[in-house]
Amino acid sequence: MRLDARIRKRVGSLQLDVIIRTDDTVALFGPSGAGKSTAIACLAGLARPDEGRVVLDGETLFDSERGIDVPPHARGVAWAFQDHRLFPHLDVRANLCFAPGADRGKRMERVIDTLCLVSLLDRAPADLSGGERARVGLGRALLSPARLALLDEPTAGLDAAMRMRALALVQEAASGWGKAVVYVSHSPGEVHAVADRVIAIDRGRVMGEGAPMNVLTAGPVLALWREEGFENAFEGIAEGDGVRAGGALWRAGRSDLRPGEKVTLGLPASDVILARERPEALSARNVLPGEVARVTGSSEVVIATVDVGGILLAVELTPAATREIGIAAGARVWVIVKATSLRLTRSG
Amino acid sequence: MSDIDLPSILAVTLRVAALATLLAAIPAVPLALLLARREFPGRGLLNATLNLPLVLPPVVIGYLLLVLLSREGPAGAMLQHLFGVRLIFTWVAAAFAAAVIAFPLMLGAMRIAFEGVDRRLEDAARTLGEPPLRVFRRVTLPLAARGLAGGICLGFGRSLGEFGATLMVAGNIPGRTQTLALAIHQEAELGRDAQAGILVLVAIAIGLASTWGVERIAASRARGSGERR
Repeated sequence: MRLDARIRKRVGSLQLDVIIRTDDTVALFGPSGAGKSTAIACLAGLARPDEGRVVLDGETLFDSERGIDVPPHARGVAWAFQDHRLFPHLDVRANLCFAPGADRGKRMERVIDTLCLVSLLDRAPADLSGGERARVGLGRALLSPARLALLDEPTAGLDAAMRMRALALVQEAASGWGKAVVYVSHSPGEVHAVADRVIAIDRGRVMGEGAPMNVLTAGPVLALWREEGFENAFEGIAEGDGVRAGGALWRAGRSDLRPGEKVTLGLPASDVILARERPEALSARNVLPGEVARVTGSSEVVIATVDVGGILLAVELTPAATREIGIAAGARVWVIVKATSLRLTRSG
Repeated sequence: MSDIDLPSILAVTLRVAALATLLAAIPAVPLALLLARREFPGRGLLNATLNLPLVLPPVVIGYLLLVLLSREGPAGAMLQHLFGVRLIFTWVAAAFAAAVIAFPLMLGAMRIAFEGVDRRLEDAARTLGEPPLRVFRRVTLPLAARGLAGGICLGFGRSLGEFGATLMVAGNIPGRTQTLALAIHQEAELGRDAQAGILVLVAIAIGLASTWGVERIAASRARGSGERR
C-alpha cells in the first residue's frame, strides 16, 4: 500500500505545504498548530487542498490540476479522530464495526483483546471515560476495510501500559493487515516506537524527514519537543528477573514475568547515565556496554544516540557533561540505568 | 344532550389531524434539512415564506386555499379535470388546511432537531465509508429522531385544534367535516352550553394526553435505539 501526497493549503495565517509519502507507517510529528490535523483532513477528503495531489495505491484521490476530488466515503481512508467522534446512539460494539465491510472476525477479536474492550462492548459512548473512548475510536478506524488509516494522537488519555498495547496494535495493522498508517503525534518516544519514518512539521513546513532517531534529534526538531521529554521504547523477551532486548539483558527487578514472555520496555532519555569507565559498587542494576552512534543537539541539551546490544537509545545530556567526559560518535561508554526507571509492559 | 355524535366528531377530528400531520411532515423533513444544512441564495426568503402561516390569520390561509381548490381555482380545476374529485367541503380539504397551519411549527422543530446533530459525527461516518444517503439514515436520522418526533407531535396537536382555515375550506358539516373545534363553535353558537362543555372537556383531555406524549419523548434517553450489530 503506497501513499503519495503533496498538499498545499492556506488555513488562516498558516500556509501548509507538505509532502507525505509512505509504504507502511509514517509518523507526522510536530507541536500543536503545526498543521498535522489539516494535512490528514486533506488525505481523508474532509478538507480540500488549495493545490496538490493525493495518490493511494496508484489511484488518484485528489488532483487539483486534473480536477479530481474523490469524496471521503469512496477513498478507503479511515480516520481515528483526536476528539473520538463515537456515535452516541450506538453501543461500543456497533461503533467498532460501523464501517461497511468492517472485519468482525479475527481482527475484531484482536482489537477487543489488545485494547481491553470486552467489558465495554455493550456500553454507550456517553458512559465511557476519555481514554476508553480513544481506544474505541482507534479500534473502529483499524477495523474499517480502509487501505489507509489516519491516526490522530490515538493514545492521548491512555495510561502507559495501554499506550504500549495500542502501539503494538497499530504496528500489527500496518505489518500484518497490510494497511498504510499515518500516525500523528507530538510525543517523540511514541514516534520512535511506532514508525520507521517520521515527517517533522512546524508551522506548516517540513522540518525533517527520515528515521525517527535521526530526525527527532536534529537541532531544529529537538527544539520542538524539548519540554516533553523523550521516552525510549523497545521490545524484548523476559528472561529471569529481566528482559533480553537485542544483545543486552536489562534487569527490571520484577519477579512476575514468565520466561519467554514478550514485553515492551519504556525508558525516559533523561533517566540514563553515561560513563566512560566501568563504575564499581553501584546501586544501579543495569550497567551495560554501548557505543555512541551520534551526538546532536542545541546549546541547551544534547541527545546522544547510543547503541546497546543493537538497540538504539536516546540519552539526554547537558552540553557541559558531553564535553567534559568526551561523548562523541564512536566513543565506547557504559550505560547506567536504575531498575526502577524501566517501565515494563506486556505486549503479547 | 342526545344530539351530539361524539364518536363521529372524534373520528373526523383524528382523521383530519392524522392526514394533516402526514401532509405537513412530507415536505417539512427535507425542507428542515435544507434550511439547517445549506447556505444558498434566497434562503432567507424561503424561510420567511414557509413561516407565513404562522403570522397570517388562519382565515386568510383558509381563503387562499378556498380560491386555490375551488372548482374555478387552478388546483381545484386540475383535480376535477384529472380525477373528477372535488376537495372543497370534504374532510381532505380540512386536512389540507390544518396541514398548512401546522407546517411552520413542524418545520421549526425539525430544523432545530437537524441543527442539533453534530456534523463531525457525519464526517466520521463518511470516512468510515458510508455515502451521504446512508450517513443520513444511520447517523443523522437516529440522532435527530427525538426532535423530529417532537415536531410531529406538535404538528398533530396544532392540527387537532385548527378552526379558522378549516371552516373556510371544509365548512362545518356534521359527520363529514365537523371536527371537535368546529363542533364546539356550533354548540356554543346555538347556546347549548352543556354540550359545548362536554366537548371542551374532551378537547382538554386530548390536549393533556398529547403534551404528556411530547414530554415523554423529550425525556426518553437518546441512547438505546436499535442497530446493535
